[in-house]
Formats: sequence, C-alpha cells, structure tokens
Amino acid sequence: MSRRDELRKVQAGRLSAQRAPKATQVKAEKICGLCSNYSEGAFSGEGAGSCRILKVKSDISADPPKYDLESTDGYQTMNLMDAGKCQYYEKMSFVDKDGTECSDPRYRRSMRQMQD
Amino acid sequence: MTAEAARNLESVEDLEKKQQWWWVAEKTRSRRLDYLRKAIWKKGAIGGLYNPGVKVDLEFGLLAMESWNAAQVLADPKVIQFAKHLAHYLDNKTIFITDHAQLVGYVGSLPHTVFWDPTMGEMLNEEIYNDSTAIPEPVEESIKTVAELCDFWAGKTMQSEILPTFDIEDMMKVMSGAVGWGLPMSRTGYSGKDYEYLMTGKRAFQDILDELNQKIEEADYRIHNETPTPEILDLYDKIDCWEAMTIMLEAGMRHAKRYARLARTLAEQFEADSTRREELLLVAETCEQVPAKPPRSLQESLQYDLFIQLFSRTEAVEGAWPSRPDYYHGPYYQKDVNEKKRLTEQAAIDLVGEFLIRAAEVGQYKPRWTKEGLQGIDGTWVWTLGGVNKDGSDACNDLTIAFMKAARQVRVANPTFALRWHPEVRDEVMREAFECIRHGLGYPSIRNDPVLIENAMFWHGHPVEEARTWLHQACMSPAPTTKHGFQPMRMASATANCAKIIEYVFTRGFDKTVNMQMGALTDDPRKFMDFEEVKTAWSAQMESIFGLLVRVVNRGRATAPKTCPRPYLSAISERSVETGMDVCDPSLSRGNAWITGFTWVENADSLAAVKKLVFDDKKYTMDQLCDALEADWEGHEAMRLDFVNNAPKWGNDDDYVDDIMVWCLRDVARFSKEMKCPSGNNWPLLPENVSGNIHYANMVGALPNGRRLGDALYDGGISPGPGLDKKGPTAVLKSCGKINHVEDGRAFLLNQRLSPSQLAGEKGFTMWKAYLKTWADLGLDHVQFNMVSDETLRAAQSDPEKYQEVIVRVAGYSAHFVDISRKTQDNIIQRTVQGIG
Ligand code: SF4
Repeated sequence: MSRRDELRKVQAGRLSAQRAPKATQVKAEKICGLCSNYSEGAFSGEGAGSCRILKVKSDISADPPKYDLESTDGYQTMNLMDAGKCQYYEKMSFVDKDGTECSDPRYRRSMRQMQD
Repeated sequence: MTAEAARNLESVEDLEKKQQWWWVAEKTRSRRLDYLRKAIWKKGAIGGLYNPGVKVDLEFGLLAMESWNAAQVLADPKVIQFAKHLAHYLDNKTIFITDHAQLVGYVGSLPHTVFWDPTMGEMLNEEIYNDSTAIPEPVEESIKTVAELCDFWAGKTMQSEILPTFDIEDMMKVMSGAVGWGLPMSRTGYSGKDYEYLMTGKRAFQDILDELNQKIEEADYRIHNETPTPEILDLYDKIDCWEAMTIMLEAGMRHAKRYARLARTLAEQFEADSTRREELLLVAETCEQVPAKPPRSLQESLQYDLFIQLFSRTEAVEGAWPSRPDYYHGPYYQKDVNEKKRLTEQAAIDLVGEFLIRAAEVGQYKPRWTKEGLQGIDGTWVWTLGGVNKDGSDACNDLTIAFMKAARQVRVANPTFALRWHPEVRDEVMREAFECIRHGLGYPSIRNDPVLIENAMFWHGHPVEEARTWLHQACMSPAPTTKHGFQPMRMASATANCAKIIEYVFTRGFDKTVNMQMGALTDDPRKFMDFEEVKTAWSAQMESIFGLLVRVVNRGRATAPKTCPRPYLSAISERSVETGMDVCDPSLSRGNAWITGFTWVENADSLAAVKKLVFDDKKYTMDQLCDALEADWEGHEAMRLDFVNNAPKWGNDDDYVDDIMVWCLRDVARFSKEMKCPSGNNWPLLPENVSGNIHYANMVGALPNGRRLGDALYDGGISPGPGLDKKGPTAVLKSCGKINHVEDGRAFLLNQRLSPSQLAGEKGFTMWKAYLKTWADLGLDHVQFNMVSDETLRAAQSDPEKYQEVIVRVAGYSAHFVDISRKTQDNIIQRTVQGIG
C-alpha cells in the first residue's frame, strides 16, 4: 500500500464515520471511546480518533479482526466503534465527565451518547 | 439581608473604592441599558460546552432543506442556487424585537440560540448530534430533527465539496488538528468588509443594486450582439455572479422591511407606553431607510452596520468582526450630538452601548476546538479605535471617547477594542483608555500605529494612504479597508501550533497524539553533536509545518470562488461589483496573508535550554534528554527542574535566550518571503494565542523547557512564560524590543498584568503613560493589560456567582472570568503582576 493509499484509507474511515446514518450509530458495550489506547485529535468533536497501538491496515470489525502493528500511521477509528472483538481493548475509567474543562479525554466526556 | 440588598445600600464611591467596577456600572447606567445588558444570553463556551440554556438553532437547517428540495427542479448555477437558499432563509426566519431595543436584528431565530448552518460541513454536524447540552427542548424530538438534518446533508456539504480538491496527505494532516486550525473554506474564517465602499455615506444597497442590474443588462447585450470571443465567454459566469449579488441585496432589503413592519405593528397595535411607541416608530423608520438607502443619523448608521454584519453571518461562520466604528460612524455622532443636537451625549452613549450589546449576543455554533481556543466568547470581535486619517492626521473623535465610556457601562467581554496609538493621540482619549483598563476590562489593547502602518507597507506593499485605514482583521493583524487592500476572507487554517516545531525536532516529525508522520523526517536527535544541528532540524520542522498550512490555505483560496462563493460579501465589495467576480478571487486582492503562531515562545525557551544544559554546560547528553522527553519527564524530575530553573528564559533581557528568539523569528521571516499567497504576496508570522495554549495542552508532548504533556502552554505571542519573567516590566519590554516589529513578523502579542492598587488615581495614569512611552520608544507594536488583583480572581474562583461580571484579558481577547475553564483561570493568575514606575 503506497503512502497515498494509506492516507486514503485513513480519510475514508473518517468520512464514513461522519456520513454514517444516525440510526446505525448505536453504542456497544465495548467501544474504542472507552479504551485507554484511543486518542483524539483537536478536531475530533464529530467522534473520530486514532489508535495508539494499531496501525492503518488494521480492521477490528473484520472477522477475524486484522491487526497491523507495522505501518507508520495509526488506525483511524471512532468513539462509537464496536470494539467487542479487539484483543488490544483496555477499559479506561473516566475521572470526571465535566466537559467544561479542556483536557483529555476531551470530547468523549461530554458526548451525549457517553452519558450514563 | 441578602447580598444584593446590602449592595444596593452601598454608594458608588464605596464600590469604586473597593474597585468593584461591575457594580459601579450597574448602578450608573440607564435603566434601558441595564435591561438590555441583563437580557444578553452569553454565547461563549466554558471550556468546550455552551452555557446552560443556550441551544442550537434548527431553523436554518430546516429552511435550507426546504429550499434545496425546491431547487432540485430548477437548473440554477451553483452561486445563484446558494443565494436563493440564503434569501429563502432571510425571508422566512423568525424575527423578534426585544423590549427596550432601538437596534434590531439577530443571526439566529431566538435570543438564546446559536445559529447552525448544516450545509457547512459534516464534522460540525456530527458534533452537534453528539452534543450533550445544546440540543433544544423537547430533546427527544430535536435529536430526531438533528439526525434528519445530518443525514440529509451528509455528502452534500461545503466540506464534501472542497475535500476532493486538496492533496490527500496535506488534508489528512490538517484534519488531524495537531498543527493547524479549521478547514480552508471561504465560509468559515474572518471576513473583512470594503468599508470605504460601503460606509462612507456615498451609496447603500439600492444604489449597488441599480449598478448591478445595469451591468447584467450590458453583459447580456454583449453576449447576444457582439462577435463571440473568449472575453464574451467570461461574461456568462459574471452574469451569474452579478445576479446572485442582486438576489442577496434584494433579500437584505426585504429582511429589513420585515423589521420595519414588525416595529410598526408593535407600536400601533400593542404598545401602550407612548415613549416606547415613539421608539418603535423610529425603529420602523430606520429599517425603512437602511440598508436600502444611506444612513442619515447615528441610529441609522449603527443599524446599517448591524444589518451588514447580520447578512454576512448568515452567509458564513465568521470568527472575527473587523470594524473601525468610531471612524465610520463618527460623522453621524458629530452631526446628531454636536451639530444638530438631536441626541444628548448620554442618549448617544446608550445607543452605542446597545450596539455593543447587539454584537455581544451574536452566536454561531462553533466546533469544540474553537470553543476551547476562544473560551468565553463566540469570536474575536476586536474593534479598532483611533488611529489616523488617510492624510496622516489624528482620526480620534468624540465617538472614540463615547465607545470607551459605553464599554465601561455595559461591560461586555466581546466586542473589545484596540486603540491605534500614535504620538498625536490626545490625553483625553488616553485617559479614557486607561480608565477602561483600570476598570478591569482588559481592553483596549494598545497598538503602535506608526509601526503597524510601516509593517503593512513592508510585508504586503499596501500604499501608505491605504495602510493608514487599517483595522484588526481578527485579534491582531492589520488589514486596510480599501477596494484592493481589504481581506474578504482570512482562513484560520494558517494558524500554527508552533510548539510542535520543537517537539518534532525530538520525534523526527512523528506526532504521538494523532499517530501520524506530520513533520519532516529530520536526523536522529540523539546523534546531534552541536547546537547548529538542532537549529537545522528546527528550521526543517518549521518549514514543514508552515509550508503545509500555507499550501492548504493557498489551495483553498484559489478554489474558493468556485467551491464556496460569497454572493453577499461580493455584493458589498467594489471590486466584485465592478468585475463580476467572486470577492475571494485572489486576482482581485493585493493579499494580506499571515500565519498565526500559537504556542510560539516555547521554541525559544526550549532551544535555549538545550544549548545551555546540553551543549554549553555539557550537563546532559542528547541521549538523556531524548529519553526524558520520551518518558514525558517521568522518572527524570530532578533533570526536569534543572531545565525549568537553570536555563535562561525569554523576557528577562538576557541576550542568551533573546538572541535565539530573534534568530527563530528571522529564520521564519526568511521563509515568509519565499512562500507566496495566491495573490503573489508574503506570508509573515504573527505570534499570538487566544486560549489555544489551554486547548493544545493535551496535544503537545514534553518539551525541553521542562513542560510535560498536559501542562498549560505559555499564554503566547511574545509574552514570557507565566511567572518566568523575574526581572520586572522594563526587562520584558527590553527583550521584546530586540525584535524588529516591522521586519521580523506581522505583529507580536504581549500580555502584561499590572497592579490595580498601584495604578489608582492620577499618579497611576502618569505611571502608565511613562510605561507606554518606553514601550513606544522600543518600537513594540502591541501590549494589553490585565488589571484585576489575584485576590479578586481567587474570590471569583471560589464564589463564581458573586463575581459573574469580572472580566479578564485572555490573549487577544477578553472574557468573563467565570466563563473560562479552570485551567485557563489558573494560567492567568500565574502571570506575573508587574509593578511599574
Ligand atoms: S479498542 Fe482496539 S482499536 Fe479501539 S482504541 Fe482500543 S486498541 Fe485501538
């Protein structure tokens, strides 16, 4: 996969997250947004982020999941991505959910779907 | 006795003595102004969330969906289709007039709503869908509507339109948000206006409309009667563009007439109070006059301005409000108050105060990164006061003073002012500015007019008469208000998170937050043998970050006329009316681009620390430093403290680090002249921060100045790190004076905290003026002051209810202290309070 192809895959992941019909966005029990390996960029208000461990050619929704640990760029994923099959999932606990502070995990805490 | 009752018993003098200026304002302003001020719904976010009760406005989305569906049966060119959407909205949106209002118009449909245009981008739409607080009542139903709007616009937005026009690698890097801000669209950013065309009383919408219709007629005639040539080919697009402009102007005039009708109906059928009835009839008369015809009075002039801004904010999400209100409205104040005596000074101040309130209540839903970066405000409305006329004479007038008096009475945090200081500014004007600062407003900031006029000529070649018209395009950057000099769109994407430059020197360009190779793949820092190698890597990372942002904005600007036309802004710009080309077309503009440099000073302090402790003193090796940074200094605390305490820091008049700062700026200035905007002009750097230092705290890794991931970054511009300027205010000024404020960059933000008790009374004013003299003699271009004591700020942290009205200067803008996140509050308190004199 060329670097441009890699990046197209990253972009496709992000755009499909933005364009997915809302009715299909349901919160599974294990999701990337609850995993301590999940990282958000400054623009991630729409719910997109990347994985600190898995690389771009990974696909945790495939059966069996594909794990790429070698490529350069990180695996593009979403807060609400079903992580039920991901063997690297590590549950994190939120310290607080007060979205009026600016700190990590910045977007997840105040996200409507993540409220108890 | 309640606290409120106790306060009511206190005299104005007692409250002044206690420096509780917000209660002084409340007690001294008129009842009308007091009502209007208290009726504002604050639209700035606290951290990343809106204030309770502020809700997203769904009306535009629903009306746009309606007009989109209707448009599918017509074969309109894109620009006309877009203009029709906007016109449909203006014709059908909910309008209202609040009690006591004499100025009308609101960007959303209700006072507590923030405007949302779902045609803008999926990223924003998703964020609104995810928002836990701003969905309007009834929530369940509204979520369904938001979902419907998101689904409807998915794949059809401006964002979807522009993305394929960019290089995939560049766009992915920008969308990561690690190094830059926002998408390069001409419908989000800072829109200047051609005020010399529009606000000098020579013409208004109807005059422009007549001219446009004539142009369409002539072009139409040429198409059908002249020999076909390539020149004729251009006319098809021009006619479309002109036609779209006419749609917008007509819609604007109809919208104003709706207000006129509403005001007249309220007056004639519902209002029992005779004074209020007269006021409403005057509102009706005003809206019948403007924007169709030029204003005749101060009220009409201010209302005209509000309509101009309202329509522009319907067309685009505007993060700034470039304005020079005393200059353009001043002649009407002069006529009404001084010549014809139609208004008393106090009535004029009330009107000006209401004008500030109308600006303060504007709210457009912003993505979270903007909410965090501009905590407490909706955008940077930094209005320009003072300065000079085109012939160089003093431009300050009685309205300059009235604006500052009104500001102290209404105490809004947005808009704020920046005063163009020059040696001829009268003491009376300086006194008003000082009073605003002493009353804790944090504004006006003071700008060095002669330096900035020269700077505008140096970097962008604006002729001197045009440079002298300059206003603030956003917080800091000057832009003229002339036909070819004004800047219709500054895309905020060229806002660099500069601390990444030094971070990437140590990660070889890999960004660990967004997990991407973002910067240049520079040499392994562990093998650097001398400081020159560090500097070489720094230069390469600087060029890769700035180059990326400039490439993307250049591309965005070049394609904007086709992908994101601005028919309304074009209609009020001489160059577009004349040529039939979109206002953002780079060929019509002289170019006034700049790169905003967030988190800049960390570079100088970090480089100085590496030079001193690794290469000069040889106390640590590069290997050790790389290990410590990789571990986010964890397990290396003694070493970290060494880097914090025993390396020279910017702002102490120490050549060791100051020379490094100047070297960094000059290296950027070199590259700024190599990069060109689509108009062929330069790309200078402008270090300043807003509250990006807090927003980026979790995006910037460990740095050699001892900072850890998550620590607040410095408050920015060329301000020293909080608490690190230990040698007093003159040393700060001397460090900053080593920078050439004309040739080393576009402008340089400097925050200073001064002691309110030290600066009390006449003595305080004299001391402040002496400070400004040193500042001016050293050739600095900017300074802004916080004059609120630690005691008040700490009290406001523990008892926010009681201190709702305390305002602070953040960086480039002001905000109510209770409306900014705790981390930002702490960062402001940590800034050194300088004793002067
Ligand atoms: S669940 Fe898996 S893919 Fe998702 S963030 Fe965690 S480790 Fe990465």
